[in-house]
Amino acid sequence: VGKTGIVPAEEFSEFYRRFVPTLVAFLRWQGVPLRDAADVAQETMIEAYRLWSTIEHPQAWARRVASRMWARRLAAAVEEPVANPPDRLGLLAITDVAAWEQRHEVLRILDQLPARQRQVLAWRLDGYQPAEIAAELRMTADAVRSSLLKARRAVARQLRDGGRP
Amino acid sequence: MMTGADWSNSRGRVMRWLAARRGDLIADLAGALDLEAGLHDASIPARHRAVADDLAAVLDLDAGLTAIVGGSRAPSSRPSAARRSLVNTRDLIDVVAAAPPAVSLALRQPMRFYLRILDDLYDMGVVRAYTRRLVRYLPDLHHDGTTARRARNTAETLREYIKHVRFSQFDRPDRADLTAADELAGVVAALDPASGDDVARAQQLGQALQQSNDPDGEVERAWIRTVDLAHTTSEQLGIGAALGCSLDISHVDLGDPNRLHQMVDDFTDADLRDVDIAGLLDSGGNLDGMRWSDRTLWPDDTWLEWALQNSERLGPGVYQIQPGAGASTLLPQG
Repeated sequence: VGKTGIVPAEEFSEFYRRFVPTLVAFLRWQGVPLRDAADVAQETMIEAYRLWSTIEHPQAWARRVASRMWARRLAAAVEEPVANPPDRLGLLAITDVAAWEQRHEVLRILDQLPARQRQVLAWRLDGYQPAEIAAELRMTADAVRSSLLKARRAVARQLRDGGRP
Repeated sequence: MMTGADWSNSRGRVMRWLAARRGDLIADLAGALDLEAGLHDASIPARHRAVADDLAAVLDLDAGLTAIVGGSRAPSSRPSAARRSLVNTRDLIDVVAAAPPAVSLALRQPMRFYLRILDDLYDMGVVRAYTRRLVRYLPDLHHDGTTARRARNTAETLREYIKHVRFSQFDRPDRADLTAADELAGVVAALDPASGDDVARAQQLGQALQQSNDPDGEVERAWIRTVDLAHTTSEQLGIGAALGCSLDISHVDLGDPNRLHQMVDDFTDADLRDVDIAGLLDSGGNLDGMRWSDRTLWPDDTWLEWALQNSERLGPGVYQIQPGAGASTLLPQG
């Protein structure tokens, strides 16, 4: 029986259904391709289920583990991602990723930002303070604030130039 | 309708716009993901292990194996204690969780040292992996524009990563490798594929970096130094017996250092009323990075005031002691 008095499987299921879209969005926001974001989120959840009884702050844990998992995957990749995704059960229920992404103009705007600014912005919009982001990303709080400022200015510029309402 | 100038002058509106788009994205993702299939998939490995563990408990595997390979009882496939050189992080988590506050504080600095070594190794592992990837591109740079583009992208990513690597140890032998990796990335980022000299220089740097270090050995050495440091601290504080018992652990794996990272600094519910904080600071310790909260009980109000003066607020009722707060000039009087 878990902390809240319900069995861990139910507790985990509730967490999974509620948080996975947020985690995928968190990764995609930082520039992780959508298919990879879904894969990394799923692998993170497999690990979360295994370690569930030891995880105190699941959301923070999942963000950190997923971020590191993606960094490792990126660094270890021998080849670029294959053109045809592997034929297996995936978390992603859509096939035309490009069409889906076109619905979200913000992704096009974010694609213009440097990786670090996207990363900092993703943590900030998920409710983290600069000092916490600094600890997560191993930066100084001042560097976080500076990246945030640059990101905000760049987005404002994009919106202005793109004639966004 | 906002004009261009409105966007330029409205940082709050930009963040609100981004927050709204983030909400849209999450809501849309909920429909684009097959959450029920994913949930089922996520629990399969753990369920499989649970079944396997149950089976292992009821089956005499050695007897079955002997029946197949013959002879006396088959040798166990488990590594001997002597060969398992690393300490089990989960054991450490148990130790930290169960330790009384005085021991937790004494353990904190040595454990932070150990965890910083792990972070250094992680960073260097990422740098080496990027470097290997970069080196693989080098032979094809001359005749393949796509490879040249990928190499430049990887080089930029590597340079960006290196900018944020903060080694905990100034004299790390890897520091030279880090500089060389940065140089390699710089050469590739600015590389003219038509120049044989540039490519040869990049290959020379890349080959030098392929020499791997000994991360397992380094972790083991770091752990030995951690234990030494912990014992020195504990003897100075007169809690040697308690700490010695806590550190009676001989094996480690690096399963979940993140959890340990969190716990080592977490004093948000600690009762420090009987802890000799001044003694810890006098013996060279510090409270840098320690997280505490409105629920933390300090030895007296002077220490609470000291903590407030030397902390950054992380969130409602949660604070973190800032570096340098252990300086004797800042200690509470009396």
